Amino acid sequence: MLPPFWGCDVSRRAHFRRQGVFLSYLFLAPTVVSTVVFVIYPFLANFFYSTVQWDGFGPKIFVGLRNFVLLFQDERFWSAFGANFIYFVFVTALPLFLGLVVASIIARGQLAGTRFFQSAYFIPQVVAAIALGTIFRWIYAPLFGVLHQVLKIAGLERMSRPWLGAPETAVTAVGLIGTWAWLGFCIIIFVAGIQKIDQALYEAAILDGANSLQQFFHITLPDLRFEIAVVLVMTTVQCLGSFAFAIVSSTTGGAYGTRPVALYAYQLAFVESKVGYASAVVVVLTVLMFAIAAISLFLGERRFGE
Amino acid sequence: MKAQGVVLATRYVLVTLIALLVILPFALMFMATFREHTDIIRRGPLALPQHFSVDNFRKVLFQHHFDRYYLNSILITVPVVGGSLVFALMSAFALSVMDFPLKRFFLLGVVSFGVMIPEVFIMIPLFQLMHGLGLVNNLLSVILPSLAMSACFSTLVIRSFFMGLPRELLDSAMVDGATFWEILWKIYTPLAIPAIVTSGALTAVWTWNTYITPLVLIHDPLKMPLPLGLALFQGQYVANVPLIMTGATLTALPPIVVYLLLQPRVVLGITQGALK
Repeated sequence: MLPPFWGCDVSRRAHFRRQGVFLSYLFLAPTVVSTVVFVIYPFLANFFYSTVQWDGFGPKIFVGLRNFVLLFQDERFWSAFGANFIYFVFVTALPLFLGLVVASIIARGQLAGTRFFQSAYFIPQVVAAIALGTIFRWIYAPLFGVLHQVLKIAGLERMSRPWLGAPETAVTAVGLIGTWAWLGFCIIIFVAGIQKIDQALYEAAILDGANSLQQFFHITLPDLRFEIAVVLVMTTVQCLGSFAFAIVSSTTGGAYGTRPVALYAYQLAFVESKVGYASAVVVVLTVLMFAIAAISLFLGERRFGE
Repeated sequence: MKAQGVVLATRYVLVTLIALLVILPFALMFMATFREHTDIIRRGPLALPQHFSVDNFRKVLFQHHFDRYYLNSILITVPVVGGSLVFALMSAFALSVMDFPLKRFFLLGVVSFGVMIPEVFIMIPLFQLMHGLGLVNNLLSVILPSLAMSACFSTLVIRSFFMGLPRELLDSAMVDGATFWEILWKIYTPLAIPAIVTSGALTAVWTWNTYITPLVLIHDPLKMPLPLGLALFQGQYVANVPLIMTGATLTALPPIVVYLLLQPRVVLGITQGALK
């Protein structure tokens, strides 16, 4: 039997042959050419740069993997790596965990004013990270800062300290800006995910006598696997990339152990003129990010295979 | 019944507390723009402004170059959003409706790849490339990569919209003898307005907020976009809170306004975009 649109399809195909494959490439050309030249070429060139010793202007000297050997012995790299690990806890793990808890409390049942709350929770996502850092630099400031004032009102003035100006507190203070900025995002994604879960599952669980904790672990958590993967990827990219870079630049400038790997790579390349070495740092960052993204997406995809 | 009331109350208290926590820093920023630095020291950072004067805005805009930063941000964002939408409509049409060899490669290997790459990963070779092209300190050096990335993102959003349109739409137009070019601009584009608004708003916000690319490529203070100008400004005037907060407000306000005006679409775009 012929498919119902057989006639149409034939004429479409004839038409398509007339207009040719050439036309589709013409339609694709602006996007593809600009992406290849300004995104993919630099991305690939970075791998080549990582194998040379180069100040950015003079001749390139091929050194093979020496940059990577140096890098693994570089204390400043490991310190930046450590800062990134702490940011991972504050920007990825903490919002993920708190987001799951809050979403599972608020998502079941209707709340009035959902749109208002959604708007509010999302605002940090649309504001430049530099502006967020600028606001928090004031909040954390020692004498006329907001946090200092709040502690003073609460009678805890002696607990106050220059949060961003001391090695013991600076990394945590910067990390908490990330928690603050990403919590709302996580809540919204998870609430949307929970509302897609079939309510009958919960009703059946209640009939079987499952308490809310059991419902959370046996229904909510497995069904949110995909949303969790998405949040993991998005926040990890931000914690390794632009977000941490901009927040640190606008608060501590990288002092007191707050410098993330991305900022270290920037300073190596554009302040110290060690372009080849800086590229090796970026390569490590790239590999790390793709590994984390691949693992998260693999775990998230499994929902569809079951 | 009573237990349910308690649960409901807990929910409201929780969502309200988090909303306050998120909004409070922005509220403090905004209120500080109407105050004097001496007033912040004297009455503390939490006090409400006593009178509303736009003096700080005038100072920051006209004495501290924020008027230039605004102009530069607009000169970067408008061509990026306009250009990338045109690029994206064309490539989304090709990737959804047309048939050609290597289609999957272009979709997954180029367009999806272009969306994933953070600026940090390409900043070093990008500087070398722009230096070679003589574009350092030229707004084009920021526009071109942002244009490419935005075009990739909008392609994905608009393509998934095109894929949802009924096949008969295309077939009947073809029977009438319309060319692909006409079908794209006269039939598909007007229908895709919701997807265009969503991806346009998102790419506008991201382009407005770009920091690393201009940091690497723009060194002339008079050519800097807002976030870079703000970073420079706050480094120079650490001690004057109201002036810095005015600069932060000027940087943050346009994306917030765009976002609040188009709120349901933008949130939908981010959550769906993230979930794809």
